[in-house]
Amino acid sequence: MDFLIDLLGRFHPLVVHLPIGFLLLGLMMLVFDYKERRHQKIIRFAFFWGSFSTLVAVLTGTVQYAREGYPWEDVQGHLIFGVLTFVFSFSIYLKLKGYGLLERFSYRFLGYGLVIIVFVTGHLGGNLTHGKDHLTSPLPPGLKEALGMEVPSRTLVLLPETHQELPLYSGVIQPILDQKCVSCHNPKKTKGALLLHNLKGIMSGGEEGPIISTINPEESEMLKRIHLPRDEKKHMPPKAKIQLSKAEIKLIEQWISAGVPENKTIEDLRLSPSLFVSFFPKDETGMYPDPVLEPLNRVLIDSLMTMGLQVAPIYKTSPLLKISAINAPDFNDQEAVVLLKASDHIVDLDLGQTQVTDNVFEVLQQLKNLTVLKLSRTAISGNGIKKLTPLQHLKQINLVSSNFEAAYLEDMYSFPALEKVYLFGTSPNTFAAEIPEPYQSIFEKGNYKLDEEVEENL
Amino acid sequence: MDKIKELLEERRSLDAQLNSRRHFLKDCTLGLGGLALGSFLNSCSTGGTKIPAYTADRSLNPMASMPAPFLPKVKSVIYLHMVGAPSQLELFDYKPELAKLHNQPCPPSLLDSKKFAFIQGVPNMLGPQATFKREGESGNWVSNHLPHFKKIIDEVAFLKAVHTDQFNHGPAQMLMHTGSPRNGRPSIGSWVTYGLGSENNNLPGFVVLTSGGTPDAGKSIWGSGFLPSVYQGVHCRSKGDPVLYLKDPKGVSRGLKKKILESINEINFKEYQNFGDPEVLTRINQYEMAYRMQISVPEVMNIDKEPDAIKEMYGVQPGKEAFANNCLLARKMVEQGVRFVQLYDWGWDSHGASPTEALDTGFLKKCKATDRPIAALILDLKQRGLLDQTLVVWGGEFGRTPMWENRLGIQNSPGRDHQGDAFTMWMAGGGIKKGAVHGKTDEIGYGGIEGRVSVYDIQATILHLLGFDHEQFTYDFQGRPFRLTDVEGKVINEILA
Repeated sequence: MDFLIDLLGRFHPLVVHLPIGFLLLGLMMLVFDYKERRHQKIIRFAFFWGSFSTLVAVLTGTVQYAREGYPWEDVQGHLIFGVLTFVFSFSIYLKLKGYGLLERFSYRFLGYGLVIIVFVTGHLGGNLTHGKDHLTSPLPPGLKEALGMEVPSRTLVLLPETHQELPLYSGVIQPILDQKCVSCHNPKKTKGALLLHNLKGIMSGGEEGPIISTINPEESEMLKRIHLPRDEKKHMPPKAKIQLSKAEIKLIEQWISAGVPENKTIEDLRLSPSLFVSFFPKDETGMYPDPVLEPLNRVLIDSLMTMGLQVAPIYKTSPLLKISAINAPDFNDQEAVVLLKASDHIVDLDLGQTQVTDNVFEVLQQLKNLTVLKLSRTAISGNGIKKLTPLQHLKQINLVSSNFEAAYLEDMYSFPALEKVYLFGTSPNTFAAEIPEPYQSIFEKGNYKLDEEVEENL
Repeated sequence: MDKIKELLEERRSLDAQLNSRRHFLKDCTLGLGGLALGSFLNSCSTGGTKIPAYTADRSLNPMASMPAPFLPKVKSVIYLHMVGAPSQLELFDYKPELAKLHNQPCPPSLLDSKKFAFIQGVPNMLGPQATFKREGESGNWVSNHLPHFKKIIDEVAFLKAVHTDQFNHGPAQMLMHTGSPRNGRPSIGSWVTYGLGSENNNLPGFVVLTSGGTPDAGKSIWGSGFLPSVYQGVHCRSKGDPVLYLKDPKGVSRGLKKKILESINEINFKEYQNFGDPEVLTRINQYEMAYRMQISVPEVMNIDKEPDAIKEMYGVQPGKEAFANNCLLARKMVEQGVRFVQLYDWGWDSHGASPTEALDTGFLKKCKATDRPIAALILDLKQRGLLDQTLVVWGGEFGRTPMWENRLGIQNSPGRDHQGDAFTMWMAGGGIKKGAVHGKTDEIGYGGIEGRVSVYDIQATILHLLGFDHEQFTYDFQGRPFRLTDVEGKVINEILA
């Protein structure tokens, strides 16, 4: 019949909510009725059931504590305050009944005390089921720091240049375990008698024996548990917890098969950088800038599209836009003014094969995040390209087969971010133009030829 | 009879659903709008073709351009497939040890538990039928059969140990392009156009150009499999009409053609409203696209207007079906926003059984016919600023053995049998690490010993560069999500910049 007791314990999370409601209602009525004292009977009724349900909650809670392996350090506060809740609520009930020996405690003291105690008990209980950081975790990191809390870095970040020098264990494996395993396998909470917070703990194993086999690494219990299907009871981390990523599993495997080295670096172990790629900082926008922007209003995007422009984010969730006039061969300088609606968002603009002329620079100079600009096969001569000088991100300009003239080449020398300008097929004088040394690699003149004679030799 | 009754009942209830008020409000307003875009506007216009306003609504325009899930490195792909499997041992995989073994019997250990397409008994080894040199700043190896390749060798990243589990042309080509050696899966070009759509409204998103003949696996290697058929490759011919049956018949004017299409599309749209079959939309779209393509395709397929210097560089042969023409066309297509250009060049099956198949005759002709155009293509893309946003892939469906093929026990002209364990491919363009070499074969080029990559890895890498995670890019069919790479594939980070 043991199971009945266990079952009783399991009702604790249900029962605890009753006293909170009853007692708070009773306290509210106590305040409401403070002057006239016309409803004492009803208030007494609330406090009777409030304190009775508190007693039931304390009992079921104690059963759960005793039988389900919660450590005393974690439970003590909740239990003590639970008992106090009963003491205070029952005292109010007795006082309402008129017991003289409680004369010396005022309603005010008992009432305020009970409010505080109920809240503290509830909070501590919540911490037990939802975790200690239940209330603090949604706070923004800035606020957390201001409150003096430690902000754990949630994800492991390695740098492609320096990761080779890190010891595999302390630099990579332990941080992974810290994130995904240690919350249940630490000296405070030691599920399965297993410690994973340091190498000693890992090597000592848990209640079912060692978790790592140096003789037969693939058969290590740790790996077996990780590889079990997620629904399996013995799968680790447990189904409901954050799982290890594929890359993390791969690294743990590598570390175990290398013989669980403590100090060997990634370089010593000759591990391929491809194993670590997923830990490198994500470069989501590549060559484009990464400004903080709200996505452009859908209506504005649609209005650009009705002009025949292709408008799309550079990737699905990015606010940055790529606009192309590939389907709008009649697009001209006047129409180009609409681009200003997205002046912060456009990073890639293709106006190739359209009717735009040098006047368009007037508009383009206001697209402050513009990175790639295509003006190939247009009547652009370059007169006014100087206006683009303030653009901090402009890296590529494609002028292939436009009317660009050599005279305006030097206007581009002062562009701050310029990496490549394509000049193939522009006027012959640009091909002949001499470009000073530091800029030569920027300007791609093309006109490649393949030698004729090599085929003769075949 | 009961069954029939049941079916009729189902039909009726489906009709009722389709004709609900909600359906009318939801679909018809949009749908009629779309139809209006497609043809009503045209019929109102007084003359000249009017391109319907672009709609990004995939249910009306299955080719609508879509952003990639992740930042793409390239927006187009040009895939150069050398059909028949070129010999890596005569082009890029230099094996001096093999030369020492020339014409000596193959050790039996190399033949144990191996399957060959043609080799019988104990063949002799065949030394490299080429001389090799390190070229470019990267100092990578290339044979004397590709004299122009040195001009582009520093743009290219080599994969020296690609492997496949298929050793016959058809299945191996299927695997390479659809991720399965059997029929029924969409080709990679179809996946890509399904995922990204087409930038240019007037051109197909996925174009196929062939030279020398049709690949052994047939047209299914550019088929759309279980994806809607609008995503299949459009086969354009470089000789004669670029696209068959696109021209108006004699006596039919373009205006009349337009009216016919409008009527057909109206009827088709009613059909769509009744049955809700997306293939009908596909059909409407294809008719409209075909109508626009009548003008735009001959334009883009016309290489006559290219400057002479460019024609010379590629070595084009106007009016003929030639790989050189196709390379130039590939550049023109990419320039016009075509998403995936697939080139097939047939005739690389160098068994040695006949002169056209021999490493000392037919093979050399193939090398000569492709070397210049490929070098020209890369350089031309580069000078136009297109190489950064295009991925160029070169390869065959498998490689060739270090053994001399000896069908029927006869050793003919120098030739090699099929080999899937190790062969060379290369990639160039946006996101590719220039001059990189990944993978290494053993001393005779018989198997990969380092950096082996599978066909799925190649596919995963191509999708990665286009902004997809190949594991998340799926299509639901027959009750489960399908991937191009099935359950395999790893992005080859070693050749990525």
